[in-house]
Amino acid sequence: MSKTGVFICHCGSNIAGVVAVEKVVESAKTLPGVKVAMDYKYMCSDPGQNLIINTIKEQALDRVVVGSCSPRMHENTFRMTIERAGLNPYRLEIANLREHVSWVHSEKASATDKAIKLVELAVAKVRRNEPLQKIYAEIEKRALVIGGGIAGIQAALDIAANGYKVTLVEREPSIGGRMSQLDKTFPTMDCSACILTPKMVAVAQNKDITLLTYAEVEQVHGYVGNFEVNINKKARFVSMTKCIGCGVCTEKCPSKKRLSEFNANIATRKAIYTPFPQAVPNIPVIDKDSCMYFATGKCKVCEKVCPAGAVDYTQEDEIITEKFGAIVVATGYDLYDHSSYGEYGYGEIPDVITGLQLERMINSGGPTGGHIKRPSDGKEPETVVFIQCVGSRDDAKGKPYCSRVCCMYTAKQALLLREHYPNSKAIVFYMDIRAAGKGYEEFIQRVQTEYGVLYLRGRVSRIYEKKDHLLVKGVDTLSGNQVEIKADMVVLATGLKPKKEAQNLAQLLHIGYDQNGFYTELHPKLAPVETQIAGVYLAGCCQSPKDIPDTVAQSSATAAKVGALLSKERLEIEPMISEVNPLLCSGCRMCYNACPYGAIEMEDTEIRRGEIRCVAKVLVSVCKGCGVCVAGCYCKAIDLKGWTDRQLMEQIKVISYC
Amino acid sequence: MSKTLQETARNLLAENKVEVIIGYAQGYDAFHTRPVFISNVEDVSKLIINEYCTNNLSVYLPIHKKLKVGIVTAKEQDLASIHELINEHQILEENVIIIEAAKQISSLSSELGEAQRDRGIDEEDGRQEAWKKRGYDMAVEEFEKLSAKERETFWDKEFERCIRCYACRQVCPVCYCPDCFVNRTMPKYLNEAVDMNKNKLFSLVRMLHVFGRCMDCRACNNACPVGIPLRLLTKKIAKDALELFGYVSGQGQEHPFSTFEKDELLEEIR
Amino acid sequence: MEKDINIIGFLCNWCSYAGADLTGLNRIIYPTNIKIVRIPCTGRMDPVLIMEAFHNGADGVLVSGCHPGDCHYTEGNYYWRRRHAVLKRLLEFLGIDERRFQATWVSASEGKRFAEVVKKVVDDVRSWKKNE
Repeated sequence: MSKTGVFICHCGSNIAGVVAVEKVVESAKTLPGVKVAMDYKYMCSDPGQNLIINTIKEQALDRVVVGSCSPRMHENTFRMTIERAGLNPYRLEIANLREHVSWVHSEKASATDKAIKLVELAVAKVRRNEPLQKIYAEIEKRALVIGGGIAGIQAALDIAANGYKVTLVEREPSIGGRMSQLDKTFPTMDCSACILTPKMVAVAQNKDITLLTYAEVEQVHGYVGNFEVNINKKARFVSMTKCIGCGVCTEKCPSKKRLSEFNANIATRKAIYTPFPQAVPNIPVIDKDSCMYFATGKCKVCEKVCPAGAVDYTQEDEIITEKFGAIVVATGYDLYDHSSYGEYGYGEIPDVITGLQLERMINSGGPTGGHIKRPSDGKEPETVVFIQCVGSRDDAKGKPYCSRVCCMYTAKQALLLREHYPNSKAIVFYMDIRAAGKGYEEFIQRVQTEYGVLYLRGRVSRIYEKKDHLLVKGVDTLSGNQVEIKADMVVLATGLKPKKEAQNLAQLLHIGYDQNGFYTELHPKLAPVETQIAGVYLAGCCQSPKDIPDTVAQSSATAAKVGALLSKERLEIEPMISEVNPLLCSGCRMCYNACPYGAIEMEDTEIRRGEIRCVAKVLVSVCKGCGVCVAGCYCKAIDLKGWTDRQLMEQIKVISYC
Repeated sequence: MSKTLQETARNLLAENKVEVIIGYAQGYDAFHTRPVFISNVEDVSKLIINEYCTNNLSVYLPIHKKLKVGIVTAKEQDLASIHELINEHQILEENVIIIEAAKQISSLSSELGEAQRDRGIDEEDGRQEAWKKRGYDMAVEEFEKLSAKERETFWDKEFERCIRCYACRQVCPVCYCPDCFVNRTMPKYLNEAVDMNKNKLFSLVRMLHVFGRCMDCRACNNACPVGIPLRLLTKKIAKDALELFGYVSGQGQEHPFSTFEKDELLEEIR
Repeated sequence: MEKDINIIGFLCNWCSYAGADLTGLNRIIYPTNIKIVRIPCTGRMDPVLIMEAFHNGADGVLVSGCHPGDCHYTEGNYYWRRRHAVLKRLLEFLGIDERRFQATWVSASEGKRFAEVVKKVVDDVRSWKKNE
């Protein structure tokens, strides 16, 4: 028989003013398993807690019920109290006699009856309370950063600066990401490459950072502190160790048909290539799909010209498995594909280009040597129309959100155009100008006043292709006039969208994404870089569109979180989590499929001597104790510690027999 | 028909493609069949197939998980049950060879009334009339139109007869739990006493457990010795699965209870 | 005197239980007929527990959790919403009066609403009991 002590608190007159405490105590004494029951004016006070401790010791109690305020208030207090007396802290139940009785019922007799019932309820439950032990897990003191754009670079550098090993995985042949494609950055007009390249080099030189380019995450198992990740290192066909980065192979490669992804498709590249001259690592890859050797079995020019003998056509994809304690997701964004906009020519008018294409043209290292030229005839444009919100704030295109950076990058590009060709004209069609950032509004003002960029508030209804120019028809809603502009070129400020494969990765990691496909943070305000999966953090545009300063700030925030996690000796885990009885599990995977945290693993287990069955197993560090698995288990093989069916059934019986 | 079946079975056994064949043999008279497990070629002549093959033999598959099994299916639902068991990882697809007799007998059985075929009831014995009178052949929609009180009275009368023999559970292919919740003692969900409320609770919880997994094979309905129309319940859950979640069991969709949509059932709970 | 009705309330720890605490904090009076059982999340709610409550003699059952989107465990209440829809229909099919089994969402800041919910459930169950 259990030896339960019941302690009823008066809470001054808060409880005792309505509930006849002495009656509750008297009734409690008659309950099965109750050895002692008493009341006290303030149970949470030092003398109150000492009363509990002394009674536990004197009466050799093994369980305690406190009738007091809400468990949300003092459950922890009393857990610590009984722990001090040598009891397991989870052998405690609270009967909520204040918030759920004395404060909400005025009629004394029925309130007392209810209080008696609630104490009975707590006594019934505590009888089934098992002693629970805190769970500890080891932590693998290494971090994985997925994505090698500015977000991933910053996160990797900061984590390494905290003293932890980092692996940075990038799917492209070089790190650098979108930022490496940009020319200048708003509003300071720093040259993008000039501020980014040192960071890229710092990554390559940091002894704590392992850089895996041309690699992708294939599978993620495990849980916070103990992730096991399979990474596919795609075949480069060039030896990382032998290559000296001289570039002869690229120069001599006869294939040059492939559009350059780095140059936003306005130029071509070879089959063996480094995306851009400052690439890190500066080691080319062979794109199998455009290589003549892989298509026809003939050519091998690169192999012949390579002075280091680095070309190796026999290389194969290699999958490596590594363990990490934390993961930072920094997969960045894609640009909206404007071919769905009929009014802008379905992407088929050559002189209607995207902001990123203009960016590559303005860049002195770009294919046009820094000169803005019309794609159709290579002429310098005189009048350029910029259209904002293409694939942003457009419900009809399924993109209701603001991409946050287009107002600013359009202004920057208009400024650059005006600087480059002082005789040119820049006209911007906008919906609203969103320039909420340090120095942003001032920048917009400067672009309009100093650089004479004309801003028209309205949308463009149609772009007509004329003989040697474009006719842009739109509306200026401020004057109410229809406008027609004879333009040489149109630049679309295409919005940001999540990476095409973002959902795939989300499923691998069990993290959520919103209706627009951006990963969801744990809390929109108070946990903006955490995810619902402990140990997985978000940085940069994969979470929502943001500019470089915000991205960098967020990346450093993830590094702080990763540092806080990895600096712990071991992980302490709340013991009120699910547990499987393998004998009862049928292995139907209902729990495995439903668990919101991916905390269930199916594992071949010897359930009896000689009988091996594939049954569910709870990953203790991942389980958060929601109980979704318990409700879904037909076999009742899984139960939630601290909230077991046994405990709840006792309570149900007590109440129902009223 | 049985000859072809026997031939198929003989070949499977002779070629060592299977270790055991689960099929039907004649029962205590010509109108009843019983399950048979054949592992010797000489015994294949016991195999029969006819319109009285009403049991869902897939219920025997999980216990033969480690063997190569050939199984005779007499109706579409039995076939679906096998696929469901594969989906639920209770049997291995590569270990099961299905001998599909369903199509062959469907023409035969359609000549008999459905309810009749369900239980193998003879036209003459008059039970069919009673059957109809009790409302057993009622459609779910019709039943739903009754008042709450009428529905309660209907089921009270039915479950009063229940002797909790658990035959419905024993014959159900998806009731394969190592230890059914009703057998548990810690906690005790149900005690052994047979009373109407407990009987009802058992069947209701069983319905919730087979929700989305029941293939409407009618095995439980047929097995019930006191004739509780369990099929009315299985049809009800199938209807709800479709109406609420667009879910049809056995089609490879994710089970409704292990997934969700954020923008669904908005009016359900406020 | 006839026994008064008896309702069991399953409240999730993070929203509804806290909401009920707020009702107390605001000293809003509601009937004593309801006794509250704290659960971690509505996702934990195995329908068998609700059946047990009825089976053991409860007149009514109320289950309350976080509003959709607010679940402490992100998704628990969505699973519950599905189970609830099926259970509710099955109970009605068996003739158990719909007034006896109710579910709602109460957030941690809806103290006033919780009192209203309790009053409504008590009224509903009482009206059922009267006609019984």
